[in-house]
Amino acid sequence: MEQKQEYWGWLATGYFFLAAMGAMMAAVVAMLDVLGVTVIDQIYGWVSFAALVITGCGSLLLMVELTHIFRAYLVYARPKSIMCMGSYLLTSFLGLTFVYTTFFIYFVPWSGWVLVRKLVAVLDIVAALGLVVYPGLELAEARGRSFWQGSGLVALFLVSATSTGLAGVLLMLIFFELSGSEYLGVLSTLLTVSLVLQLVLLGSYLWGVRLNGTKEGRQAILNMVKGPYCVNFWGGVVVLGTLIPLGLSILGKMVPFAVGAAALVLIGGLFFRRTFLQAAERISMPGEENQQINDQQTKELAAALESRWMEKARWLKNQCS
Amino acid sequence: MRWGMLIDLKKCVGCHACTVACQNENHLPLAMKYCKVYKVGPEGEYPNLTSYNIPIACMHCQEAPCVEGCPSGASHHREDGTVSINPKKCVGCRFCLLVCPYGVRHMNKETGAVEKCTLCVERLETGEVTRCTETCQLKARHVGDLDDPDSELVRIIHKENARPLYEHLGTKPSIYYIMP
Repeated sequence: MEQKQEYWGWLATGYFFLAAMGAMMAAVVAMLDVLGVTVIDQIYGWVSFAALVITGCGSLLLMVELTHIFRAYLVYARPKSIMCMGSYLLTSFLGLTFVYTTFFIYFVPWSGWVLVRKLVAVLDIVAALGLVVYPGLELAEARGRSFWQGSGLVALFLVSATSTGLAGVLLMLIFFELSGSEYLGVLSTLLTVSLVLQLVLLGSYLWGVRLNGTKEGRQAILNMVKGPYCVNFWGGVVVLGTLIPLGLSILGKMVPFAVGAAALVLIGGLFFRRTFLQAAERISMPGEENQQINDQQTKELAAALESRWMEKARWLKNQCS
Repeated sequence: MRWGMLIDLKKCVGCHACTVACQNENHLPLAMKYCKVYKVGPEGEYPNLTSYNIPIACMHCQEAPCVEGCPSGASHHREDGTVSINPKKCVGCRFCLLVCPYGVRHMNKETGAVEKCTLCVERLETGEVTRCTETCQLKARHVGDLDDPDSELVRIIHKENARPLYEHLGTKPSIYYIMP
């Protein structure tokens, strides 16, 4: 019986996390730009560039995950597939964010074209939102893993990504010593709202799967709440990733609190994706739980047998010669 | 034309001969099994107990999540309805392993491509039956054309009210089971 989802591990987790963080960072500054907010406009270009680098690093993790890295271009081959759509979204987002970033380079001829920049920002927001939402749809394709079938998964991914994106922008504001700007307070408040929403959605998602889900869905929740992933879930997602940053955001808008909250939100975002990816068990085949030895033990036994046979073959060869 | 299979669980004794024959036919390492046989039960309460064996391999679903999800088109439907993998197109993203509800796909670490039961289509094309069907001493397996209403396979499926495994998942498998 499968105890966890074992095919996508830390690399996929890292990709989902970095892509979500980068996409929402870019989306936040693009939205501020479109709305005409000028208080922190000196860092729009830098945030956009950081989003590009962060998402690019995530894409590299995705490439490393492939066993045939030089065939990576084939992921664009079948547009009907959700993964292929994700690849197109990722590429569009990277391209648009790159173009958007160039508007902030002073010697670039089009740096003064405000209207075009805002048009690119709108397209970038659309691509970013698509990139953030598609992992929820992608995971929902696994019909045998009912833990991912809940209707709130997409919303949960979106809210978690918003939190990490806001945290990223907050950290950049502080890095560029713009902590005095009124937008630090606004972003901190937005982060608080996003964390509250995340907490509510997380609770209701788990509750919903527990009430309506299949045996495997309920088991996945038990594994998260009481089982092997409880440290990651309670420690990483709930306490470190949501409750403490929520407390810090509510306590005050001072820089140390904001830095602490933002850093913890990022850690929480990583743990959230890790736990949600790992916990989803596949539906059990009849009798699968009776399997006397698991796949790993079978592999070890097979390797031992092969080695014994090779030893015997060598012995026979020596006897014959 | 749509190849399918029927497995009579009333006849299967769980000898694992199909597993070994499949490994032999496909030159698989010992640890890799395209076809696994699970022992179910004993279930129920005395004296109403039941126990049976169930061979599980690729279900060659008509609405296969692996085919729908494959970004490179490596997993595809052949004209004969079977699900096949083109190893030259497989990028090794493992998404098909993730979405297959039956857990019957394997990553071959040597080739870096995903593999699974092919329903021995090369044998079927030459008029032979699949290797597991040929090997089964209890004649628990039948292979044939699911689109032909006069075929023996379809006749037995109707007569015995055979059903695919986990029909509710909506993948429309081509492997049917006669439950004990």
